[in-house]
Order: sequence, then structure tokens, then C-alpha cells
Amino acid sequence: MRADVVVVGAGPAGLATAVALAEAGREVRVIARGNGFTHWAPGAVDVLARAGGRPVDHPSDGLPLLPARHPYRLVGEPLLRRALDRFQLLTAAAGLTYEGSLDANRRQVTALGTLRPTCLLPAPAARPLDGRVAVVGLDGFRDFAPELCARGLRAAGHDASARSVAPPPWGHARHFHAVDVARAVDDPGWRARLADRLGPATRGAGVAVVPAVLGLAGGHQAWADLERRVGVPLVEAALAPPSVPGMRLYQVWLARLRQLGGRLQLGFPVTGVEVADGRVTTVVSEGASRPVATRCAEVVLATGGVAGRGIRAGRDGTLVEEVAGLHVEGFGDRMGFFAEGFLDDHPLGAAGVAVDDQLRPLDAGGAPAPGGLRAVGGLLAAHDPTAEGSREGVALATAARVAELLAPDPSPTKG
Amino acid sequence: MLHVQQTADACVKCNICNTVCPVSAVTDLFPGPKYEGPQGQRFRAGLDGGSSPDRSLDWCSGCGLCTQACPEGVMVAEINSVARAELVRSRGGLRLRDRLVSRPELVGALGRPVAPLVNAALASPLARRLLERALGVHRQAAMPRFAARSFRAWARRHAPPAGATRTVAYFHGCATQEYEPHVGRALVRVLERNGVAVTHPPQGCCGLPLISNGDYPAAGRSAARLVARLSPAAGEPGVIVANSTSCGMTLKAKYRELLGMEDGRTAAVSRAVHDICEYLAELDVEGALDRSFHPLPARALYHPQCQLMAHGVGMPALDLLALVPELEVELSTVGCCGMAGTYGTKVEKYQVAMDVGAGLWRQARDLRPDFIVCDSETCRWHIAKATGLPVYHPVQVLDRAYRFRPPGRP
Repeated sequence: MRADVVVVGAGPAGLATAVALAEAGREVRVIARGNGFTHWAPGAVDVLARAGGRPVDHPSDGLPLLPARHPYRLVGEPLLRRALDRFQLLTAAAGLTYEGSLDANRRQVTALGTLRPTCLLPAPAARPLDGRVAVVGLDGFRDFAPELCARGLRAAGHDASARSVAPPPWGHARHFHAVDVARAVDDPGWRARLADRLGPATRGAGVAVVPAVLGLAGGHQAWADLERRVGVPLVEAALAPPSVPGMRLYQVWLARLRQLGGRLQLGFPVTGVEVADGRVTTVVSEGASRPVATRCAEVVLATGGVAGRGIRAGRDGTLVEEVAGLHVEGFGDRMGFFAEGFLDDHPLGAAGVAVDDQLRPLDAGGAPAPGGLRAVGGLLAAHDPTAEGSREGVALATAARVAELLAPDPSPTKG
Repeated sequence: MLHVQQTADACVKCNICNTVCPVSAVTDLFPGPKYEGPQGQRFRAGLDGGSSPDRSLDWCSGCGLCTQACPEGVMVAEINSVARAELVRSRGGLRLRDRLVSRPELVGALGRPVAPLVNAALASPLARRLLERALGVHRQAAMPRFAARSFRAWARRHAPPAGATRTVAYFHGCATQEYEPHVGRALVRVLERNGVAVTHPPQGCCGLPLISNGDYPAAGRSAARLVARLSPAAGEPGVIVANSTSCGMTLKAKYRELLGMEDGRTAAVSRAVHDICEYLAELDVEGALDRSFHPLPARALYHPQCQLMAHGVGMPALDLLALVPELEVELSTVGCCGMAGTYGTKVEKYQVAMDVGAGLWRQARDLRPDFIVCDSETCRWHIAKATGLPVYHPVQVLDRAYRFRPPGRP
């Protein structure tokens, strides 16, 4: 098989990179072991929620506090801003409105009633929690307990109370999950009947918090329509996976990629690269019965850290980058992987591949990896996407950097 | 390599598989791959499947999209397949209808001598109603017609051109042999055009329908027989091309994963098998594909079949079709057409199969393509029936673009 650029990984970093490269005129093939963080994360754009051990209210103010080799420091704030702007334009053109800017963090309501800091919020999660808050669940929906959410919001100082409505008649007699509800909401008739039930349940409230299930196929249109019908601002609360807001984003990236002729290949992990004369020539992935070789001019690794399985942590304390066996900045000792508490910031989360300012991986001695190889997103060293709240910001910024590097001088596509 | 059942341990309960399942999206009868697969597996004893706590797994169509979407390497669809086989075993085997639809070779042998009669009967609404009543084959389900002459009858008398520079063996499978010899002929012509000689080793059913329906012992017998017959070709010429994507996928991976055939001979056959478009795309990468296609001024909708994606080679047909001048190809946005081999023929599952494909029918209505392209035969029949459009295998399109100049062009 053959491609101009192979992007390894289909999470936010991989898809953002693939789209940016395709928009820059490269022919892109994404090869990934499966779907990624789009389906796990709550669909917002986290840029920087903590730096230097402290919460950050203004991401732009936090940037100077980051270590010099942090991905944001490598790409620079102007490019980060442009990447966020471009993201907002791209998503808006596809019916997803993202609100916010690098200058102030916002808060995303979760199913637990906590308020997680993030930078860009999808419009259905962005209404202010003014006045009385009605937290409305759906009877039988196991991923959203309105009492739990309301309790959390009260602890955060909001006047929140819990309600629940029965879903309008539909085809689900037993359990259902978020995507089932979202698909039902896509149907205008069912949506109108749901609005009839939400109306009374939200009476007297200034705003209603509902699970993030308000439509999947049509961007934010179903949410806007429902809000208009109910007559009360609706705020989607982030749920445990699968994340409907994240899937909306995934669909936008995938549709744009396909529109530009790019491809996505799921289900078979990339296992290696072949190098000739100091340059990557081929990506090798698993196939049904034998390895599949894809010849290419450039490779971008967007495989994630340990959680994304871009890095394998061995029982002996070794950390290995999965695709090209790149050097991983680690800790030497397995006991150093973890902090005390389950929800503490674990050092392992910051394990990653060191890169230069052109996102070329560096070996232990600081020498660059074979030509044609670059790394983006959670795989990068010197940052911890979870502890910092920087996952999508780093993904978008490094994707923009790769597109900038590979756009002006496209290499010949023939392998 | 981990046993299929052991991969359940890697499940992180993220539900990604449930979001891509085309069956649970349209019916409550199937609760979704996570529940049947890695969740249900915890209640089944032993690695051979164990008794299943939930018979709803029979509604899994086996499309495999769950396995492809899983980021953790859980073989969700395969776990379900093994569990279904155990369910079938515990019931004492397949019911009559499923025993018949899972034996295309037998159906072919019985039907071939009286082919005109069978074709006429299958075209008769009354006969179809009777068939539905008697056997449970849905009266509306797409059914192929016996060809006047089988593929091998043609191949025996086909004189290959001289000057071939390489050779491949051709696994044509049951559908090409009995119903679509024209697809096989197109495949041979396209290969010969590129200097590839084609041999036709003795073969037979790969056993996939038996696997899908849950009769592993019978599937194992088909598989062992086919491996024995194809084994010489795996040594020389070393490449076996297949135009039935699902059968090819079965030969490549399912004998090992599901039937536990881990011997060297099976492995050699598995490694030798190439989907025909995969092989042609590889020729093109080598610079060995004749790219001199005539223009084909038409609009096509390409539906990459679910199990094609289980080859792990992407969509080689799309690369090949892109070489045909003036052919405009739109990509299907639907992961599965619903047919899933024999699934969509069953009276209780036909509507599910139609509902699964609804997005594709809509896309075809909106796009109004001149034709649809799909690599898999049963999908082609289902899609043709549902959309009323002609549906071709990619090699048929390539064959046409090699042979025919558009009227009035130099």
C-alpha cells in the first residue's frame, strides 16, 4: 500500500494532524489500532488548567510557567492561538460551535456535579449556570444520576435540584446508553416529545443541566432546537464514555478528512517503520494474516502516552515507544510510575518522547530520529495531558506545527 | 498470541464498541457488543465458549466493526462468534434452514443440474412465500441466480494469453463458481492484462457461513479440506487471490482465531491469500500495474464492506478506482450494509438487515450514482435489491475501463 503521509493514531492529535495536513494539500492515511480519546474525553478543548503545580484561570498566563521543552513552548503561543482559531472555524463550518479563548478558562459541568476547567466549550455545555438549576435525568439512564449531579452543584454553591423524566416511547425496553439517547434525539418527532416532558420538569428554573446526549448526527442543531422548544437554557453535563460531544467532534474531523481525500484505517496497530538511508520509507501495520507495508514519505506518530498505548510500560520499569522503539523519558524505576493516591498526578502520565522544535523525536543523547518521523500530542515528553488539562490544546498546537512544517515543501508522493 | 476469549481481559468498559454496532443501533433485540462480548464472557466458563447466559447474542451479525473500533485489542465479534458456536452446540446443532444456508457448496451441487427451475422458482413470489413458510428464508431477501455456466466450466476452456511474467492461484469461492462467473472472468482478464497468469486449484467452501451460523465442527471440516486443497498453491505460486472478501478474511484469520487451526500448513495458506484489490494495489505500488484505463464517465458510490476492513489493508479498491479517468467515486458513510452473509436472508432478521443498511439506501437516493461498487457478493445482492441500482465488484469496473472506450472518443 502507499500514502504520502501516514498518521499513526486516531485520537484528537492524529485526526487534527491528518485534517491539517490534508488541508495543506498532503495525501494522508491514518492508521490506528482503534478509536481513541475522542470517544473518551468530554468533547471540550482543554488547553491548560494547571501549571507549576497551581490551577490556571488564564491559560495564556500559565504558558510561561511551563518547562522549556513543553510542547507549547516548542511551538509557541502564536501558533497555539492560530490552531485554536482554526479549530473553531473548522468545527463551526460543520455545525459545532465552540466558545471561549486562550485568555480565560471556562467550566464544564460533569455528571458528578463538578465543574472541570477547560478552555473551549461546545455551545451545549457553555450556558452560564445562572439562577435556579434544574438537573434533569432520564428514567432508566444509568450514566447520569440527577441527584448526584445536583448534590455536586450545590456543593459548588449553586441552587440545584434534581428531577427526572421518563423517556418518550421508543424501542428500548431494557438498558440504553448515551448514544442510543443521542440517536433518538436526532429524530425530530422524538425530540419534540422529549421537549414536552422537559418543559414541566424545568419550570421555574433559570437553567437546566441535562446529560450530554442531545443529538449526534446534526452537530449542535438538535440541542439548539430542543432548547428553543423547552424555553430554558440547556447545559449538557459530561458523562463517562462513550462521549457524545467527543463523537460529534470525531465525526467532524472524519468527514473533513474524507472530503479532502484522506483515509482512516482502524483495527490494526502499526508495529514498526522501515528506514533506508536515514529516512523512513514504510510503515508496517498488522494485517489479517501478515504484516501490511504502507510506503510513505512522512510519518507522524500520534499514538498517545501510556493510556493511549503509544508507550508500553514494562514490569521491569522500562518504557518503550510502541511504533519505532523511540527513546522514552522515564523514571528508571517502576516504583516511580505512581503517586500515592489513585487520583493524584502520576509521574507515568508525563512519560513521553522528547522532540526538537520541529517535533522530530530525539534519542537519549539528543540526536534526532530518522528523517521523515515526527511526533505529536500525548506521546510528547515534558507534559502531562491529564494533570495539566492540556490534552486537546497540545494535540491542536502540535498538529498545526506539523502541518506548517510539511505544507510548504511537499515531498514527492511516489514511494 | 492470545486466545480470542482472553482478550476480554483487556476491556476497559469504554463502550466504543457499542457506539459502532450497526445492529444494536436499530434493534433492542441485540444489547450491543460490549454486553455480549467482554461482559458476557465473564459469565461463560472455559476458553471454548462455555454456556452463554444470554441467547440474544444470536442477533450479532458478525460484521466485526466492534473489533476494529476497540482501542484495547478486544476481539469482540470473535468472542461473540465462539459463544454462539457453543450456544448452537448446546442446542444440538443448527436448525434445518441454517444448515442449508450455511452450505453454499451443497446448495450449488443440488441446484446446478436444475438451475433454470431453481431460478424460476426463486423469481416466483408464491414460491418465495412457501420457502419462507417452510424454511424461514425471508420472501424479500436478495437471492442470487444460478449462472448458465459455472466459472470452472469457463476456466477449463479459457486459453490464457502468452507472455505472463508472474502467476497467482485463484480462490474463486462458491458465489463466483455458481452465481457470478462473470466476476471471475473479469478478475482473470484484469490479471492477464497485467501479465499475471491465473491457475485454478481445486477448492470448495471456506466454511465461513458455517462459522457465522455457529456450526464450528462442520466449519472445521470444510476448512481442513480447503487448506489441503490450497496448500500446494501456497507453496507455488505462493500467492492466492480471492475476490470474496469475507471468504478471504476467513482464510487469512478466522481458521486460526476461531477454529484453532494453528498448524504450519494453515498458516502458509493464510499468508498466501490476498484480496484481489489488495494484490492489484500492491502491483501498482511496485509500478507493475497497467494504468492505461479508458475513461469511464460515470458516478459511482463505493461501499467498503465491513469485513473488507478486517483485512487491515484499508480500501485498495478506492486506490484502483481512482486510476480510472472520469470516474467519480463517492465513499459510503455506512459501516455495514446489514446483509452479513446469510444473516439478512433469515425471516426474523431481514428487517434488521434492511434497517442497518438504511443510511446507504439514503445515500444512494441522494447521490443518484450510475452504479454502486462493493467487494463482497452477498452485500452486492442485498444492496442491489434495496437500491434498485447495479452493484459491481471493483474488478468488473477495472475490466470495463481496460476494454471499452466510451462511445465517440478517440
